Amino acid sequence: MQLVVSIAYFTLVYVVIAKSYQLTYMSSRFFQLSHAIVIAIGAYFVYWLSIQMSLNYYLSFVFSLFLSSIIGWSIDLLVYHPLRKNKRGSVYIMIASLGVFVILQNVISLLWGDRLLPLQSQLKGYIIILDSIYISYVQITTIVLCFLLLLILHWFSENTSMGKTIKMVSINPVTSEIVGINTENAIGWSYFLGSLFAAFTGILIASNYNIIPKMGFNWLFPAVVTMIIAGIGRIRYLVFGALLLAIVQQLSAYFLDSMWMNATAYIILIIFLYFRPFGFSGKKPKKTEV
Amino acid sequence: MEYILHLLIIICIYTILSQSLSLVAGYSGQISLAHAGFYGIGAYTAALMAVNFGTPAILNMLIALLISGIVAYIVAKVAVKTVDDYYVVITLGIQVVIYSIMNNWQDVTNGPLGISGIPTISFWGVPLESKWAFLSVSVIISGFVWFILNNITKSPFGRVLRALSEDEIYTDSLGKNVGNAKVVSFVISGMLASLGGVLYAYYISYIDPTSFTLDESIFILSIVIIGGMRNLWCVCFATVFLVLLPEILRFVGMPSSIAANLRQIIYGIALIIVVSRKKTVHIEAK
Repeated sequence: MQLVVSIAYFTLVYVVIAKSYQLTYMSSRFFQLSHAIVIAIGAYFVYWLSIQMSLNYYLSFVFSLFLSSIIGWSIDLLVYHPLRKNKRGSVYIMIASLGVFVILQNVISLLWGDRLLPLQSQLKGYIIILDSIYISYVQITTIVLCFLLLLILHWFSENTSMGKTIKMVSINPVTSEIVGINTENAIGWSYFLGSLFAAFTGILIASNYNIIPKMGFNWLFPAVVTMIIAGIGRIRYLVFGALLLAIVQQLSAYFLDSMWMNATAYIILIIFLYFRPFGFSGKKPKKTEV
Repeated sequence: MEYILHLLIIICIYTILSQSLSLVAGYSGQISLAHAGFYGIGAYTAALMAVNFGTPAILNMLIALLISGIVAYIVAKVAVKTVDDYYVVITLGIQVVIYSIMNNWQDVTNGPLGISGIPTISFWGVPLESKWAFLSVSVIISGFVWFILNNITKSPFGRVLRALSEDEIYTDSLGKNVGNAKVVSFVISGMLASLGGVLYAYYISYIDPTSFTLDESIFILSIVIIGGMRNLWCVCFATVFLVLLPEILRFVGMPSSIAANLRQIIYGIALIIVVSRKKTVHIEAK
Protein backbone atom coordinates (compact mmCIF):
# COMPACT_ATOMS: atom_id res chain seq x y z
CA MET A 1 0.00 0.00 0.00
CA GLN A 2 2.92 2.26 0.65
CA LEU A 3 3.70 1.70 -3.02
CA VAL A 4 0.41 3.28 -4.09
CA VAL A 5 1.27 6.49 -2.27
CA SER A 6 4.68 6.77 -3.85
CA ILE A 7 3.32 5.86 -7.28
CA ALA A 8 0.78 8.66 -6.98
CA TYR A 9 3.50 11.03 -5.86
CA PHE A 10 5.87 10.17 -8.69
CA THR A 11 3.12 10.16 -11.30
CA LEU A 12 1.98 13.65 -10.44
CA VAL A 13 5.49 15.06 -10.25
CA TYR A 14 6.39 13.50 -13.59
CA VAL A 15 3.22 14.79 -15.20
CA VAL A 16 3.82 18.34 -14.05
CA ILE A 17 7.47 18.38 -15.12
CA ALA A 18 6.61 16.72 -18.41
CA LYS A 19 3.79 19.19 -18.99
CA SER A 20 6.04 22.16 -18.31
CA TYR A 21 8.64 20.62 -20.58
CA GLN A 22 6.09 19.99 -23.27
CA LEU A 23 5.08 23.62 -23.15
CA THR A 24 8.58 24.67 -24.16
CA TYR A 25 9.19 21.71 -26.45
CA MET A 26 6.02 22.22 -28.46
CA SER A 27 6.58 25.91 -29.01
CA SER A 28 10.26 25.77 -29.91
CA ARG A 29 10.53 22.18 -31.18
CA PHE A 30 13.71 20.91 -29.63
CA PHE A 31 14.71 19.10 -26.44
CA GLN A 32 16.09 21.85 -24.29
CA LEU A 33 18.25 20.32 -21.61
CA SER A 34 18.62 23.58 -19.73
CA HIS A 35 15.16 22.85 -18.32
CA ALA A 36 16.94 20.55 -15.86
CA ILE A 37 18.83 23.46 -14.42
CA VAL A 38 15.67 25.50 -13.94
CA ILE A 39 14.28 22.69 -11.76
CA ALA A 40 17.38 22.72 -9.59
CA ILE A 41 17.83 26.46 -9.49
CA GLY A 42 14.35 27.04 -8.07
CA ALA A 43 15.23 24.91 -5.06
CA TYR A 44 18.60 26.61 -4.69
CA PHE A 45 17.01 30.04 -4.72
CA VAL A 46 14.64 29.00 -1.96
CA TYR A 47 17.59 27.68 0.01
CA TRP A 48 19.52 30.88 -0.56
CA LEU A 49 16.68 33.23 0.34
CA SER A 50 15.07 31.36 3.21
CA ILE A 51 18.13 29.91 4.93
CA GLN A 52 21.11 31.99 3.96
CA MET A 53 19.27 35.31 3.83
CA SER A 54 16.73 34.17 6.49
CA LEU A 55 13.75 35.48 4.64
CA ASN A 56 10.22 34.26 5.22
CA TYR A 57 9.75 30.80 3.66
CA TYR A 58 6.66 31.62 1.61
CA LEU A 59 8.05 34.95 0.49
CA SER A 60 11.25 33.30 -0.68
CA PHE A 61 9.17 30.66 -2.42
CA VAL A 62 7.45 33.31 -4.50
CA PHE A 63 10.66 35.22 -5.16
CA SER A 64 12.47 32.10 -6.23
CA LEU A 65 9.67 31.16 -8.63
CA PHE A 66 9.89 34.60 -10.16
CA LEU A 67 13.70 34.53 -10.41
CA SER A 68 13.85 31.10 -11.96
CA SER A 69 11.23 31.90 -14.56
CA ILE A 70 13.22 35.01 -15.41
CA ILE A 71 16.25 32.77 -15.85
CA GLY A 72 14.36 30.35 -18.10
CA TRP A 73 13.04 33.21 -20.16
CA SER A 74 16.43 34.89 -20.49
CA ILE A 75 18.10 31.64 -21.56
CA ASP A 76 15.64 31.55 -24.42
CA LEU A 77 16.16 35.22 -25.21
CA LEU A 78 19.96 35.19 -25.07
CA VAL A 79 20.84 31.79 -26.49
CA TYR A 80 18.03 30.09 -28.38
CA HIS A 81 16.46 33.16 -29.95
CA PRO A 82 19.59 34.17 -31.93
CA LEU A 83 20.09 30.56 -33.01
CA ARG A 84 16.51 30.29 -34.23
CA LYS A 85 16.95 33.56 -36.08
CA ASN A 86 19.97 32.08 -37.89
CA LYS A 87 17.84 29.06 -38.82
CA ARG A 88 19.93 26.50 -37.00
CA GLY A 89 18.68 22.94 -37.01
CA SER A 90 17.08 21.61 -33.86
CA VAL A 91 20.10 19.40 -33.14
CA TYR A 92 22.35 22.42 -32.97
CA ILE A 93 20.05 24.33 -30.68
CA MET A 94 19.96 21.23 -28.53
CA ILE A 95 23.76 21.20 -28.36
CA ALA A 96 23.66 24.83 -27.33
CA SER A 97 21.18 23.91 -24.60
CA LEU A 98 23.62 21.23 -23.50
CA GLY A 99 26.21 24.00 -23.21
CA VAL A 100 23.83 26.13 -21.15
CA PHE A 101 23.10 23.13 -18.94
CA VAL A 102 26.81 22.47 -18.33
CA ILE A 103 27.56 26.13 -17.62
CA LEU A 104 24.72 26.69 -15.19
CA GLN A 105 25.18 23.39 -13.37
CA ASN A 106 28.80 24.28 -12.74
CA VAL A 107 27.88 27.80 -11.70
CA ILE A 108 25.53 26.26 -9.14
CA SER A 109 28.21 23.96 -7.78
CA LEU A 110 30.66 26.86 -7.67
CA LEU A 111 28.22 28.94 -5.67
CA TRP A 112 26.74 26.33 -3.33
CA GLY A 113 29.11 23.38 -3.53
CA ASP A 114 28.45 19.81 -4.60
CA ARG A 115 27.25 18.41 -1.31
CA LEU A 116 23.68 17.69 -0.26
CA LEU A 117 21.86 20.67 1.13
CA PRO A 118 18.78 20.21 3.30
CA LEU A 119 15.85 22.40 2.43
CA GLN A 120 14.11 23.18 5.70
CA SER A 121 10.47 22.85 5.05
CA GLN A 122 7.64 24.23 7.12
CA LEU A 123 5.89 20.90 6.87
CA LYS A 124 7.16 18.27 9.22
CA GLY A 125 5.74 15.01 10.41
CA TYR A 126 3.44 12.56 8.74
CA ILE A 127 0.04 11.04 9.15
CA ILE A 128 -0.73 7.36 9.38
CA ILE A 129 -3.64 5.79 7.58
CA LEU A 130 -4.78 2.24 8.28
CA ASP A 131 -1.99 1.68 10.80
CA SER A 132 0.64 0.97 8.18
CA ILE A 133 0.73 3.65 5.51
CA TYR A 134 2.92 6.61 6.24
CA ILE A 135 2.30 9.77 4.27
CA SER A 136 4.38 12.79 5.11
CA TYR A 137 2.76 16.20 4.97
CA VAL A 138 5.24 17.19 2.28
CA GLN A 139 4.02 14.38 0.09
CA ILE A 140 0.39 15.31 0.56
CA THR A 141 1.09 18.95 -0.20
CA THR A 142 3.09 17.98 -3.26
CA ILE A 143 0.31 15.77 -4.58
CA VAL A 144 -2.36 18.39 -3.97
CA LEU A 145 -0.31 21.27 -5.35
CA CYS A 146 0.75 19.32 -8.43
CA PHE A 147 -2.87 18.50 -9.13
CA LEU A 148 -3.81 22.16 -8.73
CA LEU A 149 -0.92 23.19 -10.99
CA LEU A 150 -2.15 20.87 -13.70
CA LEU A 151 -5.65 22.31 -13.45
CA ILE A 152 -4.30 25.87 -13.61
CA LEU A 153 -2.12 25.04 -16.58
CA HIS A 154 -5.02 23.40 -18.35
CA TRP A 155 -7.28 26.34 -17.66
CA PHE A 156 -4.56 28.72 -18.79
CA SER A 157 -3.94 27.05 -22.11
CA GLU A 158 -7.64 26.66 -22.88
CA ASN A 159 -9.06 29.96 -21.75
CA THR A 160 -6.59 32.81 -21.79
CA SER A 161 -5.45 34.54 -24.92
CA MET A 162 -1.76 33.97 -24.18
CA GLY A 163 -2.39 30.27 -23.64
CA LYS A 164 -4.24 30.06 -26.92
CA THR A 165 -1.44 31.92 -28.66
CA ILE A 166 1.18 29.50 -27.36
CA LYS A 167 -1.02 26.62 -28.51
CA MET A 168 -1.33 28.13 -31.98
CA VAL A 169 2.41 28.61 -32.26
CA SER A 170 2.94 25.03 -31.14
CA ILE A 171 0.55 23.65 -33.72
CA ASN A 172 1.70 25.68 -36.69
CA PRO A 173 4.32 28.40 -36.34
CA VAL A 174 4.27 29.49 -39.97
CA THR A 175 0.53 30.02 -40.20
CA SER A 176 0.40 31.78 -36.86
CA GLU A 177 3.05 34.18 -38.08
CA ILE A 178 0.98 34.83 -41.19
CA VAL A 179 -2.06 35.57 -39.07
CA GLY A 180 0.01 38.15 -37.21
CA ILE A 181 1.01 36.41 -34.02
CA ASN A 182 4.38 37.39 -32.61
CA THR A 183 5.84 33.87 -32.45
CA GLU A 184 9.03 34.81 -30.66
CA ASN A 185 7.03 36.55 -27.99
CA ALA A 186 4.85 33.49 -27.55
CA ILE A 187 7.88 31.22 -27.33
CA GLY A 188 9.36 33.54 -24.71
CA TRP A 189 6.15 33.32 -22.70
CA SER A 190 6.10 29.56 -22.97
CA TYR A 191 9.63 29.47 -21.58
CA PHE A 192 8.65 31.81 -18.77
CA LEU A 193 5.70 29.64 -17.80
CA GLY A 194 7.48 26.34 -18.33
CA SER A 195 10.30 27.48 -16.07
CA LEU A 196 7.80 28.70 -13.50
CA PHE A 197 6.13 25.31 -13.23
CA ALA A 198 9.44 23.45 -13.39
CA ALA A 199 10.86 25.54 -10.55
CA PHE A 200 7.67 25.01 -8.55
CA THR A 201 7.99 21.24 -8.80
CA GLY A 202 11.72 21.53 -8.16
CA ILE A 203 11.05 23.23 -4.84
CA LEU A 204 8.41 20.67 -3.91
CA ILE A 205 10.77 17.81 -4.72
CA ALA A 206 13.55 19.47 -2.79
CA SER A 207 11.43 19.74 0.34
CA ASN A 208 10.91 15.98 0.22
CA TYR A 209 14.43 15.01 -0.76
CA ASN A 210 17.53 17.18 -0.53
CA ILE A 211 19.07 19.50 -3.10
CA ILE A 212 22.16 18.66 -5.12
CA PRO A 213 23.23 20.30 -8.37
CA LYS A 214 22.44 17.09 -10.28
CA MET A 215 18.85 16.81 -9.11
CA GLY A 216 17.54 18.71 -12.11
CA PHE A 217 18.80 16.18 -14.56
CA ASN A 218 17.76 13.22 -12.41
CA TRP A 219 14.17 14.45 -12.44
CA LEU A 220 14.08 15.80 -15.96
CA PHE A 221 15.15 12.51 -17.45
CA PRO A 222 12.04 10.51 -16.44
CA ALA A 223 9.91 13.49 -17.42
CA VAL A 224 11.40 13.50 -20.91
CA VAL A 225 10.78 9.76 -21.10
CA THR A 226 7.19 10.42 -20.04
CA MET A 227 6.80 13.01 -22.74
CA ILE A 228 8.21 10.75 -25.42
CA ILE A 229 6.17 7.71 -24.48
CA ALA A 230 3.07 9.83 -24.13
CA GLY A 231 3.46 11.42 -27.51
CA ILE A 232 1.85 14.60 -28.64
CA GLY A 233 -1.70 15.19 -27.68
CA ARG A 234 -4.02 15.48 -24.77
CA ILE A 235 -2.94 15.65 -21.19
CA ARG A 236 -4.45 12.24 -20.43
CA TYR A 237 -1.75 10.61 -22.51
CA LEU A 238 0.83 12.29 -20.31
CA VAL A 239 -0.94 10.93 -17.25
CA PHE A 240 -0.94 7.43 -18.76
CA GLY A 241 2.74 7.69 -19.58
CA ALA A 242 3.70 8.99 -16.17
CA LEU A 243 1.57 6.35 -14.46
CA LEU A 244 3.20 3.55 -16.43
CA LEU A 245 6.66 4.92 -15.77
CA ALA A 246 6.02 5.45 -12.06
CA ILE A 247 4.52 1.98 -11.61
CA VAL A 248 7.40 0.24 -13.35
CA GLN A 249 10.00 2.34 -11.53
CA GLN A 250 8.43 1.76 -8.13
CA LEU A 251 8.08 -1.96 -8.75
CA SER A 252 11.70 -2.17 -9.83
CA ALA A 253 12.73 -0.21 -6.75
CA TYR A 254 10.64 -2.55 -4.62
CA PHE A 255 11.85 -5.82 -6.09
CA LEU A 256 15.38 -4.92 -7.19
CA ASP A 257 16.85 -1.79 -5.77
CA SER A 258 16.12 1.91 -6.02
CA MET A 259 19.44 2.40 -7.80
CA TRP A 260 18.05 0.92 -10.99
CA MET A 261 15.24 3.45 -11.43
CA ASN A 262 16.94 5.44 -14.17
CA ALA A 263 17.83 2.29 -16.07
CA THR A 264 14.26 0.99 -16.01
CA ALA A 265 12.99 4.37 -17.23
CA TYR A 266 15.31 4.09 -20.16
CA ILE A 267 14.37 0.50 -20.94
CA ILE A 268 10.72 1.56 -21.14
CA LEU A 269 11.80 4.30 -23.51
CA ILE A 270 13.59 1.79 -25.75
CA ILE A 271 10.60 -0.54 -25.84
CA PHE A 272 8.31 2.32 -26.71
CA LEU A 273 10.53 3.80 -29.37
CA TYR A 274 10.90 0.39 -30.92
CA PHE A 275 7.25 -0.60 -31.03
CA ARG A 276 5.33 2.67 -30.84
CA PRO A 277 7.70 5.41 -31.98
CA PHE A 278 5.12 8.16 -31.46
CA GLY A 279 3.90 7.20 -28.04
CA PHE A 280 0.45 6.48 -26.70
CA SER A 281 -1.29 9.07 -28.79
CA GLY A 282 0.34 7.77 -31.98
CA LYS A 283 0.34 11.24 -33.49
CA LYS A 284 3.43 12.15 -35.38
CA PRO A 285 5.07 15.33 -34.09
CA LYS A 286 5.01 17.65 -37.06
CA LYS A 287 8.23 19.44 -37.81
CA THR A 288 7.92 22.95 -39.07
CA GLU A 289 7.35 22.84 -42.77
CA VAL A 290 5.20 24.74 -45.23
CA MET B 1 59.45 15.41 -18.09
CA GLU B 2 57.16 12.87 -16.44
CA TYR B 3 54.43 15.49 -16.45
CA ILE B 4 54.79 16.17 -20.17
CA LEU B 5 54.73 12.44 -20.90
CA HIS B 6 51.56 12.14 -18.82
CA LEU B 7 49.93 14.90 -20.83
CA LEU B 8 50.97 13.30 -24.11
CA ILE B 9 49.45 9.96 -23.10
CA ILE B 10 46.19 11.66 -22.09
CA ILE B 11 46.17 13.50 -25.41
CA CYS B 12 46.60 10.17 -27.23
CA ILE B 13 43.66 8.64 -25.37
CA TYR B 14 41.41 11.60 -26.06
CA THR B 15 42.46 11.71 -29.68
CA ILE B 16 41.25 8.13 -30.05
CA LEU B 17 37.95 9.02 -28.37
CA SER B 18 37.27 12.22 -30.25
CA GLN B 19 38.28 10.92 -33.65
CA SER B 20 36.10 7.86 -33.26
CA LEU B 21 33.19 10.08 -32.23
CA SER B 22 33.91 12.25 -35.25
CA LEU B 23 33.00 9.30 -37.46
CA VAL B 24 29.48 9.22 -36.01
CA ALA B 25 28.85 12.85 -35.10
CA GLY B 26 30.79 14.47 -37.91
CA TYR B 27 30.72 12.23 -40.91
CA SER B 28 27.35 10.57 -40.56
CA GLY B 29 25.80 13.49 -38.70
CA GLN B 30 24.34 11.47 -35.82
CA ILE B 31 25.19 13.35 -32.66
CA SER B 32 25.84 10.76 -29.99
CA LEU B 33 26.15 11.40 -26.27
CA ALA B 34 26.93 7.79 -25.39
CA HIS B 35 30.61 7.87 -26.20
CA ALA B 36 31.88 7.93 -22.63
CA GLY B 37 29.79 4.81 -22.13
CA PHE B 38 31.78 2.89 -24.72
CA TYR B 39 34.97 4.36 -23.32
CA GLY B 40 33.88 2.98 -19.95
CA ILE B 41 32.97 -0.42 -21.40
CA GLY B 42 36.49 -0.70 -22.80
CA ALA B 43 38.08 0.36 -19.53
CA TYR B 44 35.96 -1.93 -17.38
CA THR B 45 36.41 -4.94 -19.65
CA ALA B 46 40.18 -4.57 -19.65
CA ALA B 47 40.32 -3.93 -15.92
CA LEU B 48 38.08 -6.85 -14.97
CA MET B 49 39.86 -9.25 -17.28
CA ALA B 50 43.29 -8.19 -16.09
CA VAL B 51 42.44 -8.22 -12.39
CA ASN B 52 40.29 -11.35 -12.24
CA PHE B 53 41.88 -13.59 -14.87
CA GLY B 54 45.27 -12.02 -15.51
CA THR B 55 44.81 -12.27 -19.26
CA PRO B 56 47.32 -10.59 -21.59
CA ALA B 57 46.70 -7.05 -22.81
CA ILE B 58 46.22 -7.97 -26.47
CA LEU B 59 43.46 -10.44 -25.60
CA ASN B 60 41.80 -7.85 -23.36
CA MET B 61 41.79 -5.34 -26.17
CA LEU B 62 40.16 -7.83 -28.51
CA ILE B 63 37.51 -8.74 -25.95
CA ALA B 64 36.86 -5.06 -25.22
CA LEU B 65 36.43 -4.47 -28.95
CA LEU B 66 34.04 -7.40 -29.15
CA ILE B 67 31.90 -6.45 -26.16
CA SER B 68 31.61 -2.79 -27.05
CA GLY B 69 30.86 -3.79 -30.63
CA ILE B 70 27.99 -5.99 -29.49
CA VAL B 71 26.59 -3.28 -27.20
CA ALA B 72 26.97 -0.65 -29.92
CA TYR B 73 25.19 -2.91 -32.41
CA ILE B 74 22.18 -3.36 -30.12
CA VAL B 75 22.09 0.35 -29.33
CA ALA B 76 22.43 1.38 -32.95
CA LYS B 77 19.65 -0.97 -34.03
CA VAL B 78 17.27 0.88 -31.72
CA ALA B 79 18.67 4.35 -32.23
CA VAL B 80 18.60 4.13 -36.01
CA LYS B 81 14.81 4.24 -35.91
CA THR B 82 14.92 7.81 -34.66
CA VAL B 83 16.21 11.05 -36.11
CA ASP B 84 17.71 14.34 -34.99
CA ASP B 85 17.00 15.26 -31.43
CA TYR B 86 15.32 11.97 -30.55
CA TYR B 87 18.63 10.34 -31.46
CA VAL B 88 20.45 12.58 -29.01
CA VAL B 89 17.93 11.72 -26.29
CA ILE B 90 18.33 7.98 -26.98
CA THR B 91 22.11 8.13 -26.78
CA LEU B 92 21.84 10.27 -23.66
CA GLY B 93 19.71 7.52 -22.15
CA ILE B 94 22.26 4.87 -23.13
CA GLN B 95 24.92 6.88 -21.40
CA VAL B 96 22.79 7.04 -18.25
CA VAL B 97 22.13 3.29 -18.36
CA ILE B 98 25.77 2.30 -18.90
CA TYR B 99 26.80 4.62 -16.08
CA SER B 100 24.18 3.21 -13.74
CA ILE B 101 25.29 -0.34 -14.57
CA MET B 102 28.90 0.57 -13.79
CA ASN B 103 27.83 2.31 -10.61
CA ASN B 104 25.27 -0.18 -9.33
CA TRP B 105 26.21 -3.70 -10.39
CA GLN B 106 28.33 -4.08 -7.31
CA ASP B 107 29.11 -7.79 -7.59
CA VAL B 108 31.02 -7.28 -10.79
CA THR B 109 32.12 -3.68 -11.09
CA ASN B 110 32.57 -3.02 -7.37
CA GLY B 111 30.22 -0.05 -7.60
CA PRO B 112 31.37 3.48 -6.83
CA LEU B 113 34.57 2.18 -5.23
CA GLY B 114 35.93 1.19 -8.60
CA ILE B 115 38.56 -1.35 -9.51
CA SER B 116 42.07 -0.89 -8.26
CA GLY B 117 45.33 -2.75 -8.75
CA ILE B 118 45.21 -3.10 -12.52
CA PRO B 119 48.62 -4.51 -13.55
CA THR B 120 50.93 -2.58 -15.85
CA ILE B 121 50.47 -3.30 -19.50
CA SER B 122 52.71 -6.08 -20.81
CA PHE B 123 53.24 -7.63 -24.20
CA TRP B 124 54.48 -11.21 -24.44
CA GLY B 125 55.58 -11.19 -20.85
CA VAL B 126 57.51 -7.92 -21.06
CA PRO B 127 55.94 -5.33 -18.76
CA LEU B 128 56.16 -1.76 -19.98
CA GLU B 129 56.71 0.15 -16.81
CA SER B 130 58.30 3.38 -17.95
CA LYS B 131 56.15 6.19 -19.26
CA TRP B 132 58.15 6.34 -22.47
CA ALA B 133 57.16 2.78 -23.27
CA PHE B 134 53.51 3.44 -22.47
CA LEU B 135 53.57 6.57 -24.56
CA SER B 136 54.89 4.63 -27.54
CA VAL B 137 52.13 2.02 -27.11
CA SER B 138 49.45 4.71 -27.00
CA VAL B 139 50.95 6.51 -29.97
CA ILE B 140 50.91 3.25 -31.92
CA ILE B 141 47.30 2.53 -31.00
CA SER B 142 46.08 6.03 -31.69
CA GLY B 143 47.99 6.00 -34.96
CA PHE B 144 46.26 2.73 -35.79
CA VAL B 145 42.86 4.26 -35.00
CA TRP B 146 43.72 7.32 -37.07
CA PHE B 147 44.79 5.11 -39.97
CA ILE B 148 41.54 3.11 -39.86
CA LEU B 149 39.38 6.22 -39.61
CA ASN B 150 41.31 7.93 -42.38
CA ASN B 151 40.75 4.96 -44.64
CA ILE B 152 37.09 4.64 -43.75
CA THR B 153 36.34 8.29 -44.35
CA LYS B 154 38.14 8.30 -47.70
CA SER B 155 36.49 5.07 -48.85
CA PRO B 156 33.17 4.84 -50.74
CA PHE B 157 31.56 3.98 -47.42
CA GLY B 158 32.79 7.28 -46.00
CA ARG B 159 31.21 9.09 -48.91
CA VAL B 160 27.91 7.32 -48.22
CA LEU B 161 28.11 8.57 -44.64
CA ARG B 162 28.78 12.11 -45.77
CA ALA B 163 25.94 11.93 -48.25
CA LEU B 164 23.45 10.62 -45.73
CA SER B 165 24.34 13.33 -43.27
CA GLU B 166 23.44 15.89 -45.91
CA ASP B 167 20.35 14.31 -47.39
CA GLU B 168 19.13 11.03 -46.07
CA ILE B 169 16.25 10.49 -48.46
CA TYR B 170 18.30 11.34 -51.51
CA THR B 171 21.05 8.93 -50.46
CA ASP B 172 18.42 6.29 -49.95
CA SER B 173 17.06 6.93 -53.43
CA LEU B 174 20.52 6.34 -54.87
CA GLY B 175 20.27 2.79 -53.63
CA LYS B 176 22.55 3.11 -50.65
CA ASN B 177 21.49 1.33 -47.51
CA VAL B 178 21.21 4.28 -45.14
CA GLY B 179 20.16 2.40 -42.02
CA ASN B 180 22.93 -0.10 -42.46
CA ALA B 181 25.55 2.62 -42.94
CA LYS B 182 24.42 4.32 -39.74
CA VAL B 183 24.61 1.11 -37.75
CA VAL B 184 28.03 0.19 -39.12
CA SER B 185 29.49 3.62 -38.42
CA PHE B 186 28.11 3.59 -34.90
CA VAL B 187 29.53 0.14 -34.21
CA ILE B 188 32.97 1.06 -35.55
CA SER B 189 33.00 4.23 -33.51
CA GLY B 190 31.98 2.41 -30.33
CA MET B 191 34.63 -0.26 -30.86
CA LEU B 192 37.41 2.23 -31.41
CA ALA B 193 36.34 4.21 -28.36
CA SER B 194 36.74 1.10 -26.22
CA LEU B 195 40.42 0.99 -27.24
CA GLY B 196 40.82 4.38 -25.57
CA GLY B 197 39.20 2.91 -22.47
CA VAL B 198 41.61 -0.05 -22.42
CA LEU B 199 44.57 2.32 -22.59
CA TYR B 200 43.12 4.49 -19.84
CA ALA B 201 42.55 1.54 -17.51
CA TYR B 202 46.11 0.26 -17.94
CA TYR B 203 47.58 3.71 -17.63
CA ILE B 204 45.82 4.97 -14.51
CA SER B 205 45.64 1.42 -13.02
CA TYR B 206 42.52 2.43 -11.09
CA ILE B 207 39.09 3.10 -12.55
CA ASP B 208 35.79 4.14 -11.08
CA PRO B 209 32.47 5.15 -12.67
CA THR B 210 33.06 8.89 -12.23
CA SER B 211 35.49 8.88 -15.16
CA PHE B 212 32.72 7.81 -17.54
CA THR B 213 29.88 10.17 -16.74
CA LEU B 214 27.67 12.25 -18.97
CA ASP B 215 30.05 15.17 -18.44
CA GLU B 216 32.76 13.12 -20.09
CA SER B 217 30.50 12.47 -23.08
CA ILE B 218 29.78 16.16 -23.33
CA PHE B 219 33.50 16.87 -23.15
CA ILE B 220 34.29 14.47 -26.01
CA LEU B 221 31.43 15.86 -28.06
CA SER B 222 32.64 19.39 -27.48
CA ILE B 223 36.11 18.39 -28.70
CA VAL B 224 34.55 17.10 -31.90
CA ILE B 225 32.34 20.13 -32.37
CA ILE B 226 35.13 22.59 -31.66
CA GLY B 227 37.39 20.61 -33.98
CA GLY B 228 34.94 21.20 -36.80
CA MET B 229 33.23 17.82 -36.88
CA ARG B 230 34.71 16.36 -40.03
CA ASN B 231 38.42 16.79 -40.07
CA LEU B 232 40.63 14.29 -38.27
CA TRP B 233 43.54 16.73 -38.11
CA CYS B 234 41.43 19.54 -36.70
CA VAL B 235 39.83 17.15 -34.19
CA CYS B 236 43.35 16.20 -33.08
CA PHE B 237 44.33 19.86 -32.64
CA ALA B 238 41.12 20.54 -30.72
CA THR B 239 41.98 17.61 -28.44
CA VAL B 240 45.41 19.03 -27.72
CA PHE B 241 43.91 22.43 -27.02
CA LEU B 242 41.10 21.26 -24.76
CA VAL B 243 43.23 18.79 -22.82
CA LEU B 244 45.89 21.41 -22.17
CA LEU B 245 43.39 24.11 -21.23
CA PRO B 246 42.85 22.95 -17.63
CA GLU B 247 46.62 22.63 -17.20
CA ILE B 248 46.94 26.30 -18.09
CA LEU B 249 44.35 27.05 -15.41
CA ARG B 250 46.45 25.07 -12.97
CA PHE B 251 49.55 27.10 -13.80
CA VAL B 252 47.66 30.31 -13.19
CA GLY B 253 47.19 29.06 -9.63
CA MET B 254 43.51 28.28 -9.56
CA PRO B 255 42.52 25.94 -6.71
CA SER B 256 41.54 22.57 -8.13
CA SER B 257 37.99 22.64 -6.78
CA ILE B 258 37.21 25.81 -8.71
CA ALA B 259 39.27 24.80 -11.72
CA ALA B 260 37.19 21.65 -12.32
CA ASN B 261 34.00 23.67 -12.52
CA LEU B 262 35.63 26.46 -14.48
CA ARG B 263 36.92 23.95 -17.00
CA GLN B 264 33.38 22.68 -17.61
CA ILE B 265 32.07 26.23 -17.87
CA ILE B 266 34.66 27.00 -20.53
CA TYR B 267 33.62 23.92 -22.52
CA GLY B 268 29.99 24.97 -22.27
CA ILE B 269 30.74 28.48 -23.49
CA ALA B 270 32.85 27.09 -26.33
CA LEU B 271 29.98 24.81 -27.37
CA ILE B 272 27.52 27.68 -27.55
CA ILE B 273 29.94 29.93 -29.43
CA VAL B 274 30.84 27.26 -31.98
CA VAL B 275 27.21 26.36 -32.57
CA SER B 276 26.20 29.96 -33.10
CA ARG B 277 28.97 30.66 -35.59
CA LYS B 278 27.85 30.11 -39.13
CA LYS B 279 31.03 28.90 -40.76
CA THR B 280 31.88 26.05 -38.46
CA VAL B 281 28.65 24.16 -38.81
CA HIS B 282 28.79 21.79 -41.73
CA ILE B 283 25.57 19.95 -41.37
CA GLU B 284 22.11 21.35 -41.10
CA ALA B 285 19.38 19.20 -39.68
CA LYS B 286 16.45 18.75 -41.97
